[in-house]
Amino acid sequence: MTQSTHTTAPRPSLSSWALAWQFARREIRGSIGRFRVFLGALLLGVAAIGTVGSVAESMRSGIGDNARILLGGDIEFSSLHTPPDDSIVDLARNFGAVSQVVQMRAMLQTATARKLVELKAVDSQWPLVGKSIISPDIGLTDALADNAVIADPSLLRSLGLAPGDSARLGDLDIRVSAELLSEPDRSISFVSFGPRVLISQATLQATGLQQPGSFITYRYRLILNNETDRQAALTTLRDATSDTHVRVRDLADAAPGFDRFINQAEVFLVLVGLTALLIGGLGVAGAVRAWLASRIDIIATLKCVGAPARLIFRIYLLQVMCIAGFGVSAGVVVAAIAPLFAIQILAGYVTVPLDLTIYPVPLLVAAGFGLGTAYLFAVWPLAKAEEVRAADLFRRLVAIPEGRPKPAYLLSMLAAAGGLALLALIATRDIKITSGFIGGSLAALLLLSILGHVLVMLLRRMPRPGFVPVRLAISNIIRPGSPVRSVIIAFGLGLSVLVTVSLSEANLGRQIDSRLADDAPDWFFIDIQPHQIDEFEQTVATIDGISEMNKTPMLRGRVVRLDDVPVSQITPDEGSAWILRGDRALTWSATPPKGSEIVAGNWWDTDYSGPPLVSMSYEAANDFGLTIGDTVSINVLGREITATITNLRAVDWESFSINFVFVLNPGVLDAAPHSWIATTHADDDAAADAVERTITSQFSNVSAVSVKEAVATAQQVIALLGGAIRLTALVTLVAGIAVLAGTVASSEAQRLADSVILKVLGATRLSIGLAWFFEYALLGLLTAIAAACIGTIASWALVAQLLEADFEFKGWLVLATTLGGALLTAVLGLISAMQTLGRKPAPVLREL
Amino acid sequence: MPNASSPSSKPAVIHLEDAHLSLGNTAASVHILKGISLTIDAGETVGILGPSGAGKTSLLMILAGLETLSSGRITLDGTDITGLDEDRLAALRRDLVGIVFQAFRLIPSLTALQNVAIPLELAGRDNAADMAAAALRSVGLEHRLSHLPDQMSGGEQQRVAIARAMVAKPRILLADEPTGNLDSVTSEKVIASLFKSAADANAALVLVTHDADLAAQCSRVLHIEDGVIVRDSKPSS
Repeated sequence: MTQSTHTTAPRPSLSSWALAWQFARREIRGSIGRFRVFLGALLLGVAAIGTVGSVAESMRSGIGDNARILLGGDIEFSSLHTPPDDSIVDLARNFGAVSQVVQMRAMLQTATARKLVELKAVDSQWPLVGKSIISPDIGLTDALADNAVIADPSLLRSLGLAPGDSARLGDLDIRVSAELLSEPDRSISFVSFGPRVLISQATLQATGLQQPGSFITYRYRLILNNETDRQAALTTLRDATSDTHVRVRDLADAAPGFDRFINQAEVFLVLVGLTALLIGGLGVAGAVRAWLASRIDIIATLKCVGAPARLIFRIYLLQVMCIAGFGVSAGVVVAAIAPLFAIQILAGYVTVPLDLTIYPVPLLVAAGFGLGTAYLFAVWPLAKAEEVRAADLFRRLVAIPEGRPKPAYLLSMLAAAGGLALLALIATRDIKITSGFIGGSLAALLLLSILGHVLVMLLRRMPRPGFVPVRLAISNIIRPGSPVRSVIIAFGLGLSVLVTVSLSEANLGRQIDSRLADDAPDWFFIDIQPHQIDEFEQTVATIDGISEMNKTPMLRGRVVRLDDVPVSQITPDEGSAWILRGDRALTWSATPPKGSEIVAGNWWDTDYSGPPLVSMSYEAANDFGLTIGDTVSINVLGREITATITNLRAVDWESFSINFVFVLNPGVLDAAPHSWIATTHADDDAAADAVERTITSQFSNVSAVSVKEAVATAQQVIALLGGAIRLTALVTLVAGIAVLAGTVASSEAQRLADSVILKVLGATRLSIGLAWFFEYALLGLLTAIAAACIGTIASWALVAQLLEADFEFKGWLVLATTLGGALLTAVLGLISAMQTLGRKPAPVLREL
Repeated sequence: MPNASSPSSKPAVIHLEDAHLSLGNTAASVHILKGISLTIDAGETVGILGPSGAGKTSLLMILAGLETLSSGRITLDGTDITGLDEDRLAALRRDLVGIVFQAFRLIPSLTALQNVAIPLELAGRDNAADMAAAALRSVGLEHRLSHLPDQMSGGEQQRVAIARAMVAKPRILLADEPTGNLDSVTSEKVIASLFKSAADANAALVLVTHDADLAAQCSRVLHIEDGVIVRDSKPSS
């Protein structure tokens, strides 16, 4: 037997991408229609991730581009309670012009109303960078002369004031000269404790508000004469202030805290968007499988005429990726446009100068996520399609083979998953969160898959009901090849996210509300001078309806070392990092503060007068790895105090009462300039109003902070965040619904054949329709039960474990979600399937 | 009568030696072909007749390299294809074998010309379109080049399928019930095209059919029953 050339391997050109594209191109137009779900899922996920990234980037860029304006200069150095030493200010003046701003809170009063305001006393140099806008435009110098103030228009409206009117600030009668429309160096934050009032430093002196120990921030802004001096100026100032209570900031730190907030919000929202994409991925797999099933004769025919397996894979991969490309491109376009709207909404809450530009990196990352997900979920069915047996064409038994794809394809899926993990890492910049998300997603998928399996198993064991439509519905769910598992996984994942978010938000909201109702004081009175505290106490005692008053001395200091280790060398837990970041409130007490629980060590004797001792929050000590006997060094007004930890207290931060991380023994800080803080609990609103009115009238330097207003502000922020989270969570649900619709569409042929045979056997359209309704309702119910379980576990983990708050199972919420999910699934499933029900049996029978 | 050697002296393009085919798993295996030996020469036309389930289509699939023998040997145009992997078989099919199905198996989104050009494109031929147009002309469909399958009659679709099967000038043309979906008048035209195409290319034509009259038009008829060739006859004699 002679061997001919026919046994040679297929020519390389046969599998080439160009040839595959030649075939793919011809087929793709007819395929796009079958990928509506696929396109929708990709569009949603990419748009969500891209929008979040773009908005965050826009905020970061807004901060970065306007850093000098936000900082008020090139470098800022600031201190609390007392101004920096003149020598430091003189040092700064060597490098350029220096402007001083003094900030504090105070009460602005009219004859009938009073309001907590944020005072800002400026010098003639202010603003060094940018421009303030006032109305009428009479010039800053004139507007601030002769005890005149410029105030926020909303403040003036609420107090019934207008330019030209008079009011009282501290001990001084002031005149409103203009409305403050724009303030270049207004700090960026969601929470503001009061509207702005701009005054001159001479006016501030005259108000008598600048008392020792009052919570006053002194800010000095330096604008450099020479840009090249930046590093030298920074080094000089940092060296000069290292042992003082003065802090130095430069442009890189123009919006401290807010940058971190943006990053954290971005991480969270990107992860929810990624969940939507993963759910969409399941839709991708379903859509690709259904599409390939419709192409199977073509695949077998191509193999019959000599197409090698790899060429088949490439022809269909190219089509899938092209269609994915459309979806991803549409998502990117939405993500490029959406910040326009998001920024408008955010502008009502944030003072960041938001920049409207197209940011390529978040859009590229989102596109990468979209294409990576499409590839990851499409490979499996595509790899199985290349295994279609051409021989089956002769027997009309062509089907996508079952089982696992070849190892090479499994490896390529692993690589795609790795790529997605890498992108997630780029988007979140946090390996811990990324790995947690991946682990959590896998666990949720596994749990949903197991739940689906268990529920089907239970249904199989249940006795069949007598009512035919229900019996048909159950048979459809438990038959081999039923989409029950993919629907439970995809729709269930979306619903789980929604249950988690709703349940967590309800729990956190409930805690704030109930704390507010039960424990919270009505007012915090700040800046009470030591010589005023007794009179303050006596005044409060004369007001009817005040059930409780608590007071404590307070001043602020900066933690500089923990057990002799400088804080710059400490990487704290995220939960306690805030303690080392800014100036912390300190107090002292001979006895344990009210409501404190000593969990380790002992409180000092009431007459103790030895070396400094400190009582520390147990949670913070734990986070820093500190224990009894370790030391804490705190810089108070330039003086460093090292105290030994004597005991640890359990602190309930959510109680809205006066709490401190650090409480020192008496005798350490008493001599330092300090003020007192007090809280009052009133029996009713009238008593609460009376105490505020009386105290602020009698003590012009004391400011009253309404806990209700502070909480309302916090709740506004929580609501904004909650809204963003819910919106993104809804995206995951919509992705799940898209998957459900896709699953229904992909089983249309089977459903059509079933319905026709049932009609031939005498079933009415109503009974078939009912059977399908029950099928989807049951499927929805099973999915919702699974989602309720997972959502509750996730919410409990978030609320009780991560946030360490009380978790309460909200039965009505879970029930509403469960029933809503079931109904939604039933209605959507039925709507999709009803089109099939209308088909006449005869033409279909001829094709069967 | 398990062995069926070619009675002529023309070179053999198909040689089957003690071919066995079993399908299903070891526990429930079905023995479909039971030791078939067969030689078919170039230019020969062979009709395969037999009752349903006799193994006719399985034999055709073996000849197309679409089914792997459980035991025995198969040689196509001098190449032993026993044990070749799927992609080598696909390449061999592309160069050597043309197949015509009962259900035409045209790709609905492609025009007649594009359908016929597929084997040539897979072979990387530059003049695929010209050759496909010539093949369509040879089956009388020069006016249907740009028509999609659903714009053509069943007979025309089957002639497109014949053109596709023959366009690469294969040495073997296999047809599975090629007129099963057609009326008698159309069937005659299609069969004429099939025989003419095979003769023009001097290809061996193997035709599976239930139609004894159609089989009688072949130079040789094999009767298969229960996986065995029970009769190998020449209708003309």
